Amino acid sequence: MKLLRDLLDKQVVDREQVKVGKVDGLVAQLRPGKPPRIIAIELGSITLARRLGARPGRWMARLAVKLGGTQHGEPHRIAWRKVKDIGIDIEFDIDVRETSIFAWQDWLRDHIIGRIPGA
Amino acid sequence: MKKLLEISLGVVTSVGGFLEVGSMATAAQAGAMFGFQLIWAVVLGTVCIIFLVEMSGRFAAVSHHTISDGIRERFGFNVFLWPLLAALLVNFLVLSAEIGGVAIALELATGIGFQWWALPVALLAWLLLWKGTFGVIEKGVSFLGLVTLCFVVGAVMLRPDWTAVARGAVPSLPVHDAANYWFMAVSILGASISPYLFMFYSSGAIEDRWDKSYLGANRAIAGLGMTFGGTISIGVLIVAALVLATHGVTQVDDYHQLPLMLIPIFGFWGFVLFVASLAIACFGAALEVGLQQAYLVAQGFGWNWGEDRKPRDDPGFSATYTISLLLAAIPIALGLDPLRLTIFSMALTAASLPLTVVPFLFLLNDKRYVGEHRNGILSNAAVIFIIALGFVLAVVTIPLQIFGGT
Amino acid sequence: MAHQTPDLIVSRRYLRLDCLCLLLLMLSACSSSDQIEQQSRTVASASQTVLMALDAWAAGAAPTAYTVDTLQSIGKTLADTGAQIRSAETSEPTEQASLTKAVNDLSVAVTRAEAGLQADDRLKVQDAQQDLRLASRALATAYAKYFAPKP
Repeated sequence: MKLLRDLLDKQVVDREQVKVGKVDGLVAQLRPGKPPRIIAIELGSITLARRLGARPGRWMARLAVKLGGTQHGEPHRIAWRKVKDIGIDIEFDIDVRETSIFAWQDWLRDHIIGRIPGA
Repeated sequence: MKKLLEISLGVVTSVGGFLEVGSMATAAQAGAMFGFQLIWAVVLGTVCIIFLVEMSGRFAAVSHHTISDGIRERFGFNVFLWPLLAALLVNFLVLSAEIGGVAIALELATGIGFQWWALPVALLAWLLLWKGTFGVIEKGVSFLGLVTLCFVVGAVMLRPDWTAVARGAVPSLPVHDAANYWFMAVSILGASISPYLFMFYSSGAIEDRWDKSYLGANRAIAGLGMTFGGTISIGVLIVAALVLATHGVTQVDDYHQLPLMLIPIFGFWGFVLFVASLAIACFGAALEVGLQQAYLVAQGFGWNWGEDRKPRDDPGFSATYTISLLLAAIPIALGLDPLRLTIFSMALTAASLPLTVVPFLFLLNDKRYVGEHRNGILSNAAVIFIIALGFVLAVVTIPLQIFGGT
Repeated sequence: MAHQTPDLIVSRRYLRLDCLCLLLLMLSACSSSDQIEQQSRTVASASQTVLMALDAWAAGAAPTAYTVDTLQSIGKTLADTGAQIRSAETSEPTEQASLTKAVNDLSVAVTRAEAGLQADDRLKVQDAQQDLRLASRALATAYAKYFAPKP
């Protein structure tokens, strides 16, 4: 499997088919004498910023810490062993509500969107 | 029978998307200054958009990806960023122009200055997106858009010399005002080939759960719908040529001049019809562009999206269209002339085309996405032609705009 | 060959033309007579717009508020363009003066028509329309003289 071509930037969904995000980055383990093995995918703005360069990555991480606290200073990771199905989307056997990936969307809902009538 | 209904709905919908402030204003300007001579630009633009819309629909129906999903996945985030930023910027300007178009219509109807209408219009559009479903927006507003057919009726009632109209469909060199001629040709092409139109269409195909059985319907909707829209644009151009130019009004630089097109044909009803056409066409387009901004961002970053869901279920998505509408209302509320903004944004749209159209060449030829439904030679030739055209337009218009063209 | 005077900046249509001159290096005749030609045509188009709007109003096909707004907006264009024609450098001062006078007459007539509209005085509007027609004819004559081949 060509990892970069077939996995990177694909849509990620959880077991309820909720769209979690895109595969913004891959974490691979280098093994001497053997091909590298994927251990996790990464998603979120920090990973995206790192793809643009080391400096944007550092800026984004600092911004994330400032806005969300130290627990948001690292990109979100989903372990590869949780993968369930690779089709149009990549399905992981997780429930996004149990992760912190949607923390900012939850914040948005609780503080702004949810307060507007009719939401 | 059901398919037939789908097709006719789709055709009506694409008319709603096609005719907006840009195509109306550019066609009116061209008709007033150059008579029928620029009809070819409308025809060329319509043919180009037919190809792009058909491909977007086919891509969505076969691969179950929207165009933005496809670009991100196939080219990676770093490449995707460029068309994303270009489309966001162009859409912002177009959205602002559409809000301006509705605001002008309201000014004409009430006598209250257009800048006062910008925020109420944005609010009403937002309310529809907030509470409405995709079907309501797509179908309801588009049906009202049929009022723009009054331009076609008007054009026929004026009994134009149809051979002269046909001659105008063949490109020819200008005999006067060469610079204006080419600038208008560029604006017309920009108004016809709008990226929001084909991107929105692919999102709509996903929202309506299209699959391969829709390929025939897709072809019919793209072909008939866009031809229908182009016909109305040509109607505007013919009316402008036969009403404005024959009265000696050759330069349409002021939006107050626009209702004068229909008054000599329909009397007071002409005024009413013009105001209604402008308001409805622009409002429909504002809804589509506003929604497209949210689709673009949500699809690009993989968030939940869907107009039929409740705002609280996709906070990111609904926040994006809320902010887009609000921001786009600001230039108009500050009194920026909507007609100038329109012409400017149409030319910029034309210049941005290579960024959004180049991906089609790859996506529609990639077996992993479209399998056996790949592009044929004709479709690929059309894409290459549009890219080349967009490239030339970019080279011509960007300097013009920087140095102060409209 | 291309030149920019401050009044050029006001006229976007002209600037657009000017830029293409620079860009394509094809139009070699970007002289001040072009400026006056362009501005005269803007004035002619504007005055016909006013006549059309007034006709529509007289026929009961255009609301008064809309017609007044149109006259105000076009009146402003006339005033701006008139100022540009007046200050343009030209080798034919006599013709320039008659063009300027025609534009002035147009502006005055538009203002009168506006007053007539606001007072709902049909006669006054008709009078002003008559003046507008005369002034636009004078403009056409002056324009033709300006561009007539000189010995």
